[in-house]
Amino acid sequence: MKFDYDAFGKAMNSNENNDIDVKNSGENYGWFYKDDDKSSAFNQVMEYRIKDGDHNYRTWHQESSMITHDAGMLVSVKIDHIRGDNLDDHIVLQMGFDASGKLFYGQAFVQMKEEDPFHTEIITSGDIIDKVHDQIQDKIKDNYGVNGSTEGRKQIPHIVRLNMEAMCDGVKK
Amino acid sequence: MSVKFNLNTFKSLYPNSKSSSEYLEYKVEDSQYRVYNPTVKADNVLNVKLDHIRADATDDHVELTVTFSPTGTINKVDYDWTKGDDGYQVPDKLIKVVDGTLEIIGAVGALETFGLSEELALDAKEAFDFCAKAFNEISTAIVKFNDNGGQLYFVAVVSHTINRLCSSVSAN
Repeated sequence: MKFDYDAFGKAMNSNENNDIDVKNSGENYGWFYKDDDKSSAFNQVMEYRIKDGDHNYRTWHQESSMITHDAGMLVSVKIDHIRGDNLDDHIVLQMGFDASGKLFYGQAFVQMKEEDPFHTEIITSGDIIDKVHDQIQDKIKDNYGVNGSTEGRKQIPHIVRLNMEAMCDGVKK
Repeated sequence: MSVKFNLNTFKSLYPNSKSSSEYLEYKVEDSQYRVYNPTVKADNVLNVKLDHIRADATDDHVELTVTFSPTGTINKVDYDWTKGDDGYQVPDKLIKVVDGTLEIIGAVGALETFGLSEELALDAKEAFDFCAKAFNEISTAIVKFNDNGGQLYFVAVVSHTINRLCSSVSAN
């Protein structure tokens, strides 16, 4: 089993609703080295914006490790909601896939500047992506104030969904 | 019977890392994650230290003590997390944010193991349970203390480390 970064990129570029624009998608499906720092493969990121509004996000190179006896794979990722300066919101996701490549586990932690952090439960049943999406959605406020990037934050559940779906595409047996 | 730990296997499971004789490390943006060579603390007990080295702040430290059954199934993780302070300060005040033991009580038990024998399936299920529970428990504790993505991601590094330890032991 392995994580295929190109397959993830393809999925992000052609998501079902096609509602994001991936920056520089013509090259490496949008993967590039942040700040041109090539000292670590983990400095590769993909940046994209919601077409309906100028809200920008960044996915960092995923990390994966096999579960012993090749029983499956854990994949984690950090996602930024880009707000500029030192104000970015952060999401860390961890997902688990069994040896058949099926998603069986997901959990997300969300940190927003000046807001209480929150997280989903450990989700291992039902539609895992739907549940992670809905549990984040439940915690998103209607209004984050004048400089709170309310509209961009309201898209976080959707951005997490797109990433989880694309990560499922990235997992190859 | 006691568990044998294979350091070469362990180190090979960190893609994109740089290895030196005492540790390996990998970098994500301005965060550097360092994993020291695990040491055998007692029969079936491994100890591993990890650092989150931060460019503009003092480091975070984690120490894991992982206990396996004689057949190589993980069955206990003690962890100790020391958080660095923000800014350029000398770390005169280290805050110990979490310190506890993960046990298999309330196992997640979600992993399907298909063709694996009962014994190997147990290894895998327990390995996953500890990774998922470590991520949940430690993130819940540390997420409150900061809004630094590199610090939060350190928990995923710890979770992958537990997973890779489980893949690097075998019963003698």
